[in-house]
Amino acid sequence: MPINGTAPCLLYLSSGIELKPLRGRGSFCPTINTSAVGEKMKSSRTMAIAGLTKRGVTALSAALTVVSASQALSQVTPITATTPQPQGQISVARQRAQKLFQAITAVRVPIDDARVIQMESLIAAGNERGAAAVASADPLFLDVQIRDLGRKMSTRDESVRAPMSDFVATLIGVVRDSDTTSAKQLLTGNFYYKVDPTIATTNTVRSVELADIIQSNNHYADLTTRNLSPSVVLVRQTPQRAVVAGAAVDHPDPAGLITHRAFIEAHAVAGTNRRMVEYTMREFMCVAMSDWADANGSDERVSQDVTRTPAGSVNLYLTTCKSCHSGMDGFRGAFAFLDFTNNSQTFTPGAVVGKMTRNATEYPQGYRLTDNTVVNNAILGKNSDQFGWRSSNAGVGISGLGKMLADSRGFSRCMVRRAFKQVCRRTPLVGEESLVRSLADQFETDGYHMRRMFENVAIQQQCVQ
Amino acid sequence: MKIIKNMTLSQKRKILASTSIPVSALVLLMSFQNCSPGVVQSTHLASTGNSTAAANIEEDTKPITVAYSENTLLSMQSVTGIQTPSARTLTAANTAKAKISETGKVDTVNAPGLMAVTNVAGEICLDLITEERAKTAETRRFFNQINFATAPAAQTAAGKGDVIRRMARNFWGRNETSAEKTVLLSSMDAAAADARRTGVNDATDTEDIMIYTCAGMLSSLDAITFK
Repeated sequence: MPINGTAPCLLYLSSGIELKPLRGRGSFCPTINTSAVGEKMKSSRTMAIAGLTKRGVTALSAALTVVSASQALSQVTPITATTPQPQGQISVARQRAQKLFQAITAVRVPIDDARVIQMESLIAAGNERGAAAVASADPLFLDVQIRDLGRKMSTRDESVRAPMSDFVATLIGVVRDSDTTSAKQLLTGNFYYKVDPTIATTNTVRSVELADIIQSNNHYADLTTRNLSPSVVLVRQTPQRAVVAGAAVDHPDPAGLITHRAFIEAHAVAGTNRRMVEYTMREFMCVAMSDWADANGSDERVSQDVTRTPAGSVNLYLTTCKSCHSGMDGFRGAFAFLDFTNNSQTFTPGAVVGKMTRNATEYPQGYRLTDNTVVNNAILGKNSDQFGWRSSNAGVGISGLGKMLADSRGFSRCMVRRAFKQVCRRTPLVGEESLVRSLADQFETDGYHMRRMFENVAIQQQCVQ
Repeated sequence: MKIIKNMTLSQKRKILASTSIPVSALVLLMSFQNCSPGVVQSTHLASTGNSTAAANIEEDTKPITVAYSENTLLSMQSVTGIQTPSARTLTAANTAKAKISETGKVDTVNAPGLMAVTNVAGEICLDLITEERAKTAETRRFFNQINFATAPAAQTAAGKGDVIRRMARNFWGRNETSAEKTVLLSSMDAAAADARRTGVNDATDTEDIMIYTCAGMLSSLDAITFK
């Protein structure tokens, strides 16, 4: 009886006791010469044990199929099958362990789950941080909690229903690699995450750089449709890439997530690139435009397309328009060479893109961008405190803006607020600002370790009760 | 001023009402702040221009939430232990996503959403029962004392109680109360007494009752709430 040629894709050719897996399916799967395999098996110890019967070969084939399936499953988010303990006691520590696990992973878990029991022991021993670490080490933390945080941060809708994208993948990757990667690299890094090429081939994830990563979201969409676990399959890719003069090149001005395709697709398409500023501040500093508008800021950088006499009133400009444009247009220079065209982020290094200087006749005496310099006008009054700037108030390009933000206290506080909202399922109260700041300080002391910060947030009594 | 013991019953009631109602209202107001935007959690307060305005960029968040569109299926997989849902379940879950709350906030929970959750729960429960039926009784995780070869009426109360206990622990994170057990057992018995679907045998009828119970428990608020 011939061995089924497709079932044992993950072929364990016996070589004595040692079993060597040949991972793969489809094109990656070796064509099996059934008679040769049969001969090989005949001479192996495994087959000697199994017997050289047709039944033995079939059984082995079935076993191989199971192994193949389990290998494929190792790339999806693992689900633990917990056997309930009908007579088991449920301690207070166990209940807290379960809540902590659920808060950190955003997935419900049985009360008798082995991880919960492990956490229960740690909590009973007074080691809440250790208990939280058990949860944050679980793939569910990355595959659900961080994925959904990334989805909300990646698009204009700020919706958890946003698709998996390069932005989401990199956020997951940075959190997963917290031990070696500072969260500041979310704004300064020159890398992105994609599916491990071997796994991509195995699972037919579209991976052509220009067509599937730079000019479309195909690569990341496939990650979802193939049910792959981001926590397992993602690898870091350096450097970032963009389109210059119609060709894919190393990114001329990389700035972590800000220069990821999903973020730029969401905010740099059409418009005047002011939305890039607005949403960069919104997602990474946790401030809506109205929260950092400042009528006292300088309007030296407010562009020509902003009228100084809205409805005929200079006062209206001074008290309203200028409040937002002062800060926004100061930062906007960072994106002077950036556009989103032909479904990809395109750069024209040294040449300001047309949309940055449009409607110049509105107020010709206004500022006209000629380069990609950045001026920070959000430094007065409440902005000084809420942002806590710690580096130069001037910079160059998106990377300069990214560094300015990453160095600020506002960034670390924002990351804490985002973690708080994800884990505690509410925004911090006004009275909890000191807690946020304390956690942010700890976050910085820990080297901007994202996973540890999530753990610290979760174990606060104000969070999981 | 009259001494209280000299007052008429009507006068005493008036005093009681005038003091206890405001006190009760105050207690209610202060006790359940976590359940509503309330005064202290109003995000509008936070955006009045002080430096803490940045804390709240979304409105009206609440500390108690339910599973949302993106984690409902995984949560159900987690508590039932189904690693690979059937294609049928995946289709149902994808269809349900648009109906289930996007945020899980309690004020976004509505009837269509709960029905969608129940539908997904039913599919997952069918997957679970299909998986469990294929195992020997002693290796099952939920239906150890259920004989799928016999009619619902042949299942023992102890066996059904065992299923309820196991599901309660995995789905709800606690043991069922006696009241809940009574309700569940009686509803199982009532369902068993109903006319079975046309053409189904004893085994399928028992399976139906178990799916009914499982789906009910898996889609109840305690199974989808995050506190």
